[in-house]
Amino acid sequence: MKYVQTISIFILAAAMGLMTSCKKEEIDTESIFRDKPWPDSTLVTYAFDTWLDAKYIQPYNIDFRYRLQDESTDMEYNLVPAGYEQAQITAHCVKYLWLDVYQKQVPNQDFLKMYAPRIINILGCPAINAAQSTETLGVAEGGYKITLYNMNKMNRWLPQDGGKVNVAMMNKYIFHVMHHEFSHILHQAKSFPKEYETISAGDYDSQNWQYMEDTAAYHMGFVTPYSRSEAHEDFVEVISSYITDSIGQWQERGFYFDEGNTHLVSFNENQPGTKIINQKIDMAKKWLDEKYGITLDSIRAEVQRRQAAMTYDIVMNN
Amino acid sequence: MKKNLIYSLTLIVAIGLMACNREEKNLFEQSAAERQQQVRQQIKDQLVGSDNGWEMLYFSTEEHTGYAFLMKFAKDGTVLVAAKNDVSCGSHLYKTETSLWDIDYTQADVLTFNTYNTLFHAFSDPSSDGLGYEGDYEFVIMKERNDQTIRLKGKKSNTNIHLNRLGSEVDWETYFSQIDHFDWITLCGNSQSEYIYQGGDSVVELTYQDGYFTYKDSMLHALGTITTPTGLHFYKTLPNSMNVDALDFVLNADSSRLICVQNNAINIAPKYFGLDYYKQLIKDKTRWTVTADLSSSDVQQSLKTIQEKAHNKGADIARYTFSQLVNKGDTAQILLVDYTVDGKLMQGYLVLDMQEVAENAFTYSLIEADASIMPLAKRIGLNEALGVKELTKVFCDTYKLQTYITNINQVQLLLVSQKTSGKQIHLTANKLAI
Repeated sequence: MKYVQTISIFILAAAMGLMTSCKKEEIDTESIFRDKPWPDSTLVTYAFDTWLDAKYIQPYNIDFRYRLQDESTDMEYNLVPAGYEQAQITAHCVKYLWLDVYQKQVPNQDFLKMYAPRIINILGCPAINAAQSTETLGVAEGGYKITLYNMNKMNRWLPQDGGKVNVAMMNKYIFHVMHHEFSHILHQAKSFPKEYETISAGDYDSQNWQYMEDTAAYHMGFVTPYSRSEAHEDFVEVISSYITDSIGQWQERGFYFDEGNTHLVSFNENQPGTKIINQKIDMAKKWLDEKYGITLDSIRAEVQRRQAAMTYDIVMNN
Repeated sequence: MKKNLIYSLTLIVAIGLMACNREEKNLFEQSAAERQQQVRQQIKDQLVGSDNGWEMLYFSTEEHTGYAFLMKFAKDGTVLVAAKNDVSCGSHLYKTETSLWDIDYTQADVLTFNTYNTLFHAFSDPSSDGLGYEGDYEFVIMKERNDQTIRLKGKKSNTNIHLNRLGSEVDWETYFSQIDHFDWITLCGNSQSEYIYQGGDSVVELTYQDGYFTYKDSMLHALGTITTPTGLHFYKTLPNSMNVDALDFVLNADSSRLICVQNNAINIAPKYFGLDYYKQLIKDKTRWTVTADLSSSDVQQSLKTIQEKAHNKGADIARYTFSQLVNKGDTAQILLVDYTVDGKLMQGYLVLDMQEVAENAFTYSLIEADASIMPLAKRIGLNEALGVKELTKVFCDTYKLQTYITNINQVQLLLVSQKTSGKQIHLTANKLAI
């Protein structure tokens, strides 16, 4: 009995194969997610969409998603989309202070196309978890998608009327997040420097890092309390802080830069963490140079120059 | 064994035949993607097709005050949103703002307001506590859809939202003024007042809670409510609603009750009216103030004479009110008089007996004059007793009660004398002043 059954299953399979081979089915190439060719000239957003096509999609294959998409709804958080004007400021700002910097400073012209996240998703409000009283500054999903929050504040941080530009807030919600996540992508693509893990080994604490005071973190050799969570986070925090934070922000932490403008010096000579942070910065520089041909100091110099020069008009006309 | 082999061979032949049949037809003429796109296009066309836009009856949660929005969807992807409420506008001012909309599809057709609109997303903004009003801005489009109405369901909160096609004659700003007007003549300032919801034989007592209603069975329920230009829209049907979706109510011709649009046998009326209402307000320590200017001329003349006599002896009368004494029975009401003697503020009263004589009719008669009224009484009469008599002559009478403004925010009543033709005492109660 069993034998027959096995045979019939086999024959059935063969017959099915025959049946399929007789059909002339074609795969429907129409995407169900886009109604029309994009950019769509009938929409009010045509000019901006065309700009995004020229500055994000064509050169880097990055989808800058400013309209909140159905699947993006997060059941854990109450979120709102970014305003259309705010989205335009954000898109120009990310180009000015992120894309253009790498494109200019990294010799490999395909670098961003190869490693940049495929999707930049923006939301209007901060991601606040009321129950845990925490705020998520940004999210990266598998290296292909970065979500930025609180973008409805953009016109306050970069005022059109020429008011004071708030670089610190833009760094907090955009650029620190982007350099942080991008550095994760880079160390995942090419082997992470193993010796880095040994520098603060024993000081990492994945459970209790959030209860640490900033100054205590610096004292231990971490640039932020979050660095203390684990070595990979530490690594990307060092890189993103080094690139984005202004001299003023470092001074608030109790540091200044040496004459060569490449290492930190503590105002307090007995600060034991300074040496450790410098060691981490050196290792990150060496690794970025060896693996990607990136000179961290030139990225930092370009970012700092652009941050200092930045106005609404400069950003929107770039 | 052999039998099984035969079956198998038969199967092979059958399948072989099927496999060679090239006349197979698709069940649908178009692919799934094309069909979905067609439905989305239909919905878009319907939304854009209403020249004067749509009324959205929006609830952020099902248990609170909801609000009406007016929206005009345009083909270029923009939507003009109008609102007039404190949450959206930061004040009670009419405002409009444009943002973007789309019909998305992932698991269902979804109407999404996918860029920020200050007026609309105010109900979804988490503000500082991470929660805010917890309202939706993405809505699953439900199957119940016709030319006039599209039913939506909030994607996160599952709240039911109605989109009603707006008539071409409706002026947007007037629409919101009408909501204000309806609110003013019915519910405004009327928090905690009680209503009777009658559906068939059964009744539900509703209590107004400054924007929405509550009712009790074994527990307390809150009923989400939206004020519209013509009446009320409820989030859900109350129990005992005669098997209809009793969601919309409009004010009837004499403004005495709200009639259900879906079934006019269902209605909502104030729990107290007529004499019950008068008594209830007195019980609630409301003071019914005599408005001399609006009373009949004989009453005006009597009060003027009393005032002149008092004034000649150094007293002045500020106001007369019908009220109730604390710790006395329901029928023991008082005529309270605020007056001054030589500039000194005083209050005195007459204790009155209220006897109901017919429907909405009663007699006020004097039980006693309190000592507190005597300094006034002796100035308006030759002696205290005669002064008291002057007062009772005006106020003690048999009256028929008429309510002529039902706005409970400031109720106005007429006591129409059943003995003296043409005599009327006009009373005002400002419920806010309780």
